[in-house]
Amino acid sequence: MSEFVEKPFPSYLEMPSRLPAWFWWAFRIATIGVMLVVAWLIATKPEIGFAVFWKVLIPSLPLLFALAPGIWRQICPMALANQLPRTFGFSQDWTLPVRFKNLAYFVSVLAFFFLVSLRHVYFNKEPAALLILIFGALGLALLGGLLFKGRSGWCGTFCPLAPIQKAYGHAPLFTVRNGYCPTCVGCQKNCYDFNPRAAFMSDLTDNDLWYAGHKKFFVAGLPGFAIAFFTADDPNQTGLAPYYLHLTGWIITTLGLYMAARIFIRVSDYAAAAVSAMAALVIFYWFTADGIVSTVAQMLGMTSPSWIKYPIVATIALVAVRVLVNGIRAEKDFLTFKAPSGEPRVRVQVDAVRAGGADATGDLVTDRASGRSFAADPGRTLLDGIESAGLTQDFGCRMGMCGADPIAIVEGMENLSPPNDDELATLRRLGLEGRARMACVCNAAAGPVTIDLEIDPNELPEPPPPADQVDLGEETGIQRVVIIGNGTSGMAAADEIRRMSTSCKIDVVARENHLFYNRMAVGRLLYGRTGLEDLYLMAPDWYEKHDITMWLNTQATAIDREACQVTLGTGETLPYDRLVLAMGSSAFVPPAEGADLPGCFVLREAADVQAIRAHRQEHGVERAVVLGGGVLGIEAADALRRVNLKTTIVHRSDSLMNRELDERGAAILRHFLEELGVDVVTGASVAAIKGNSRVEAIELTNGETLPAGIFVSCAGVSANTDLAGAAGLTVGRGVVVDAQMKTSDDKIFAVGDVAELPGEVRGLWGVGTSQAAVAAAAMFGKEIAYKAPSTLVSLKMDGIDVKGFGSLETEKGGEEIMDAVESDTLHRRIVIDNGQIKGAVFVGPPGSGKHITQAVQKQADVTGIVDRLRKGDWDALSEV
Amino acid sequence: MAFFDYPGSGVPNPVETEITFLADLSEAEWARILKVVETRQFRAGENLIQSGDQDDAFYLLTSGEVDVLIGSEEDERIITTIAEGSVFGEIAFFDQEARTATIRARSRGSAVRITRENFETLAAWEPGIARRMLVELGRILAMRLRWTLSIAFN
Repeated sequence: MSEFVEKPFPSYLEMPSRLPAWFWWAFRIATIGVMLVVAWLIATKPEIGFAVFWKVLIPSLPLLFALAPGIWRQICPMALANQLPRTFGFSQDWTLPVRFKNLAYFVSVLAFFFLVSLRHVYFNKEPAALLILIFGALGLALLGGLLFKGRSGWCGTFCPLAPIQKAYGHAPLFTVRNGYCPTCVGCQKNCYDFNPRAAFMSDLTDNDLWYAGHKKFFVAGLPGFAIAFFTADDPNQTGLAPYYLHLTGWIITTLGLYMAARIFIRVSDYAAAAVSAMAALVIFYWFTADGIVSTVAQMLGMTSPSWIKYPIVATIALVAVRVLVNGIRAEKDFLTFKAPSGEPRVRVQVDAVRAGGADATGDLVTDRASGRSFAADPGRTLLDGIESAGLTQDFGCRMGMCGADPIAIVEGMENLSPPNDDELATLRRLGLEGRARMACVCNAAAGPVTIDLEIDPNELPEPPPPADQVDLGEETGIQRVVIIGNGTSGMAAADEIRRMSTSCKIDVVARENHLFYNRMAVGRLLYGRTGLEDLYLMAPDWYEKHDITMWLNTQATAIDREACQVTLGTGETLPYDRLVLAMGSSAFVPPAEGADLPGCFVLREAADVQAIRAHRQEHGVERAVVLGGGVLGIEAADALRRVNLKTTIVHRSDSLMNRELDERGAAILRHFLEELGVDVVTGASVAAIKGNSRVEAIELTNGETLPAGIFVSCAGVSANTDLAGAAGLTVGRGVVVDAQMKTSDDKIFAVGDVAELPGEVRGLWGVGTSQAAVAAAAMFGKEIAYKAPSTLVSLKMDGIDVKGFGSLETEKGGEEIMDAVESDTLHRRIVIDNGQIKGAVFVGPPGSGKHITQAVQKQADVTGIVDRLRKGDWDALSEV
Repeated sequence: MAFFDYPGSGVPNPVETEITFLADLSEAEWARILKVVETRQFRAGENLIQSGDQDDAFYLLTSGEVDVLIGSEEDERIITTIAEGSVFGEIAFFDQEARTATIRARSRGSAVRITRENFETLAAWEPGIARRMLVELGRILAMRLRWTLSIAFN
């Protein structure tokens, strides 16, 4: 960049002194001398005096202001008078009060207006008046210098000539270094002597619109004032009123023109002001050029030609245009340099972040609809990737079994990890084989992939016809199956039965008014934007396509085993050849005092969530208590926390998730919850629920009382066995079944939570679907050996990975491996027996538990990596 | 730049205009942050932030360049371009109000995306890092506010 660009607006301190100080002092003294001579002429030979003063000296000033205002500011007699006290050290050097600074421009503009306008009245013809004016001004300038510091007593403030200097000299063609201020004392705002090129622009662009407005007002009125002054009739003839009416009329006219131009023409304040000022300059010389030339000519004893005015005015107009161009060019630089030197920037050490794991190379998985992408990372599921990309995808079990998160693979199916059996079964159930994958268990392995989060049912292939298959229903004569319950196991049973027989009539009786939905995710209905439809696990037309009759919002009231029919609450009866009980379980509500108060809830079904939402809003509840520190209780507490309820978990055991976790794991989990603001009370239960008309406080068995407007019981479930019991089936804690899921009645099967199979864990997705498959097969006379699925219990909460699996017992053999160093944020422990993982606990940050999960789900043989695990190399689990 | 920087007249010091976000974090500490936050990969033309959206994440642009656009869809204007290594979006992270500009990728790249929920999780796992992050975000806001004030009242 050239030096000019770097410093286009030098302050006087940065300007060179082209001429020595003595020259300027000589010039000033000479000017005073001229002035005294002129004053003497005015007093003694008024005609010559007035002509020299008003026709020659004063009219030459505007041109000087436009070309090199600094010369005038160096030699002005008033400036000299003002600066004398400072130069000789007898100024009071007071700071001009801010009030006066604000007032100064008014004063100077008003003085300018009246002094100029009074020329026609007094100063053009009365010597005494003009002398008073001249010496009065000098005296006031001197007084200003005596009292106030710098040039704030006159030159930059009250001087009536200051506004017009700034207006004509807004972009001086030549600058002259201010010779009066040896050091700058910062006596005034936007000082014209400090930075002559920037002063007027700074005035006009000042953020104080009031301040900037004065300047605009002055330049906008100036052309009108010039026209009016020279076209006015003699006020001594007409009287003062018409005279001032004439003046103000013209001023208002050009003010109005200026404002209209500002409205209709898109130029900057500065450009508009500059044009107005230069117009005034040209107008001024239009009226004065003749007078100047003829006066000078007369003094020289010559006559001036009548046309002389035109070349002079043309020259002045050229000067005006030159100044305009100069100013408008400078304005660009001015605005550039006025802007703060560089927008603030915040840097992040990219290398460190990238090394930490944020990498931009490699292939991408792209969502077709949103265009968003994430890295194709073999170590991470598509679901994790989708979530990391800020996309929302419903999810359920995170094991590929529930069917909550199928995504269509538009391109790149071959680049994904191959599906396991669970996932294949789910895809088959959903009729999505070959086109979709379950996001939660599918890893993007190699190469780019394009996905659709929303699966359009119309684009899907029809489910493959089971033509080559024998219709087992026809073969066995089983043509009517009734299923009670449309949860996981009930719907899995319907699906399995339909696969075995296309002819069999299948009726599903459902107590709730909703199609099969992702019950694990009901907590999300409490917060977030999920609607119940988003939780439906099967497309609405699935039922029709599979010819399954749904009886929604219908209670099965009795089972007539003799007649083989189910009586419905509607009075209808459904005959059956085989009956499947899949009524599930209900949340256990502690038999505490007050458990029937409004505000007591369970959290299992969609209706529960709706009730909680309604109660919370109706009563403005702020605090909640969740009874139960198992998976369901913690998930419920997380959901309540997210709607800003101050939530406390009350847990009977001494540690959270005590069935699945060890103490260390539970401690990390507890700490995490507490950090999020969820309080945890362990070793206590609910003694009583207090409140007048609704829940107000929870009394605990440890004597504590917790204020709370909502109480949610997640303290376990009990199987819904009433119907089975009334029908005379053998019922224990659940409906007792054999290994084929058959109850004490050969025609009746029970699956899922309602079934009681010795040693089986309740409430797990995989268990319900596996049992449904066994029951469906057994129904048609096919025995499948039921094998409990290898299922982890996993806490479905954002921000933490918590997994529990199997048993941590090592008494009957097995080797325990866990992190040697205790950490506040990570706990891994597995028990290996005969090369198999028999038990596992994992608690850590999100995503870090995936290797353990995968190894457990694969039921992988870990013999080969035991040594590495012993050394703490947990990543070895990813290789089995 | 001030045109009237009168000597000794108390013109304020130039505003600090460059901050390195969490300059003292080690790679290991970044790795711990990255466990709980989101990493976005994007292609040229993809919108990271859509004007009007309610999205309370701030971003660390770890690679690539993004444009900041304002105006309606028919009348979009690029007001600035953000270079690799920048931090942006922190205002909505704090006030959770709708986005006022669209951020669109100029090139392929990646960004770390930290939502309020991510931050809460980070605070639960790594309170020390989270506290430092919060102070840094405050420092960024303060710097940008100072800059804004310096424009408004210059």
